[in-house]
Amino acid sequence: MKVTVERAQLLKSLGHVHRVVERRNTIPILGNVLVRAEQGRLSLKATDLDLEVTETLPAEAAQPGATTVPAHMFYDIVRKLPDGSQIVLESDGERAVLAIRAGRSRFTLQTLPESDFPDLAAGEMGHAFALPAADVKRLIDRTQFAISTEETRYYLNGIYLHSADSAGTATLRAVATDGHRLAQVELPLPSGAAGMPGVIVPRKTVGEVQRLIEDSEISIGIELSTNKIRFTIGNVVLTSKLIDGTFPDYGRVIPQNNDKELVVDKHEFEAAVDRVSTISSERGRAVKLALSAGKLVLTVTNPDSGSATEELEVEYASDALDIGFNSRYLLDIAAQIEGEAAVLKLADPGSPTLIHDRDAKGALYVLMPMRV
Amino acid sequence: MSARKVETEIELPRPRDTVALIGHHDAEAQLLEAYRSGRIAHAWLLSGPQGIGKATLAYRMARFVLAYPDPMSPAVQQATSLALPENHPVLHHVAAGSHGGLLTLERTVNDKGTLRTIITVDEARETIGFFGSTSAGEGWRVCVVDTVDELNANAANALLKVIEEPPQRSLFLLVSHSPARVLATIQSRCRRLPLRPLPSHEVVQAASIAAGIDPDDPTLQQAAAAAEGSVSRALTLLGGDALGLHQRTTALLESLPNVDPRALHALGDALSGTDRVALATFIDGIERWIALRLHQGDVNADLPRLARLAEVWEKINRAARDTETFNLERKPLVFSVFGLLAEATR
Repeated sequence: MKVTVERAQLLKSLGHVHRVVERRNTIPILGNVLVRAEQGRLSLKATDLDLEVTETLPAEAAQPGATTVPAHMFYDIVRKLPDGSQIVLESDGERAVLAIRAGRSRFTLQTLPESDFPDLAAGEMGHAFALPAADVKRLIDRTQFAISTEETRYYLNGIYLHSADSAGTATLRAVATDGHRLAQVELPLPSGAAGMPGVIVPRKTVGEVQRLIEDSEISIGIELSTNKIRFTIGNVVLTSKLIDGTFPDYGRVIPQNNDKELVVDKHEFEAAVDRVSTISSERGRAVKLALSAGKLVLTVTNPDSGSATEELEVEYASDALDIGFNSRYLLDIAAQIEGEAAVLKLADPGSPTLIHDRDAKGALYVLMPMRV
Repeated sequence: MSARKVETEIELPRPRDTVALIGHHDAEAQLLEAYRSGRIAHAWLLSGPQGIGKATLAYRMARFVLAYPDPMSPAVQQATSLALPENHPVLHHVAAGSHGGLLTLERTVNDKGTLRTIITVDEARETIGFFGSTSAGEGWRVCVVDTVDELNANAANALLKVIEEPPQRSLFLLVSHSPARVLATIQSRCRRLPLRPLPSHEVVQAASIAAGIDPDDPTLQQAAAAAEGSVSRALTLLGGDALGLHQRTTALLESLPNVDPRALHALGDALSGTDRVALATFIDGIERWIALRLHQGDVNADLPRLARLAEVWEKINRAARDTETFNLERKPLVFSVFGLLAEATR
């Protein structure tokens, strides 16, 4: 194999793929990145056996071929080479080394055979559709905070992506929950996604996709089967396993008949909750919301340190109500509101509250109350 | 009977690399038959003495299932063994540990660079994530546990959780040297597959492949004869002068209770130094000999004698452990071992 490539491009691509490789690896080949030179391009592939990232970049391939080298070391070498240099990668079939040359620098890296490198991407993908990057980003950004980290309920450790029917229109819906809060975002169903299976995309994959979307103008290709999902983001292709489990019937926990409606200014509310929660202890982060006509009083009482109270003017016309929430969760959800105001639909102090954006459609959040 | 691992300087072949299976045709046929039927039990307990090819068979089965995910396909229905064609990609991936459909639980190296004595609970919990996500291959998820004896109590229970409620198309291959000590709740969920020690000619065959020695080599023949059906024991005996040591130990044991003190001195000298293999070979020879006596003895007639022998076995075990741990002089150990044995057999 012999290939010449621009340092800046190689560095950028390696920056994407090497993140997938874990620093400490008991299996040597998983610490490596697969380097493959083909006609006019170079492809780099890294995997942790749960997901796989491949990136293709233009290069002058004098002699096609493939090998694998330690990912982090290769990345560090390329990073330290002078900007603007041309890098030559060369290996022969005889010795198990890859030579890296740029300007006056010479490196050789030990390689492992390409045939040992795992291949996750094999297999048929039944469904394919495309979404604007901004939409994919929204689906992820608005739901990611609610993904559970509890390992026993592993089927909650991801975003449930599925097609759904929302008041007569078909939608692509992303849901995440940890049992305390739930986030749901939907978009009109893109063509090609009809009949897609509901899949649970693991947390790590979600984070990786989010980081790979650098340009929100582009279109992202999504392919999926019951076993795998693949995102094509520019010249990066990410293939991932899915979580094998049944996502709970979340529809039953979304309250339908909450009649008490509270409208708060997003910024005022967020700042006020943040201020009063200063006093709360690590363990109990409860903040009490006391509602009366046109007025909301936020109170935090911590028996060890003191108490805090703040009054807000709000739109509220129903009966008075006292309800408690975890301040952390309240802040997380407030941060997801894109418009100026949030609408909270409440029933009673023991029932879940429905929160959505007054100005933007398509996203809703459910929050369980705390006893205060 | 002993959980002691025989340390060896010879690089023993790793089961995940070993493609050839010597012997165990019945067991292999049972696995193939079960897979072919389309209703294979999800967990198997492969048991038998150390070094006879249990893990080799487990990996062979794992490779077969990963390579041919559909049990109804012609390749499976017409297969006569679990062998894969040469250069099949699954062979490379399994050997490199990079097959996404295979999880291996085995003892790993700790931060200090030494091999752990157990499989930890954190490692066993990897099964939750592995079986909780879809397979990287065409559907099967295979977990090889080598060995299940090395799981500590917590790790065994963590593994049990997953074996209790396995997802579709999952296969557990548990390897055990002492199946009776495996958690009863795990045992009850496994189909048992006991493997027998190999006959001597098969040990020769397997050891000659592994060590690259001519099968007609007389040393190999002797090592195989002394190995009691275990390929790893035969290979250990082939390293250094382990075989000579083993034969001297055996000869001395045969001469009990009237042992020649000069021969004991010579044996003690041969053991001196810090060679772990030598000490392990000596202790292993003694333990085997006692075990044989205990098995052959008539319980009704010889009860007090057998009880004495069992007691001696325990004392020897403790003394050997101390000698190894504190790096004590080995000659006194040789004398005390034979002293105890002479008394017990008199």
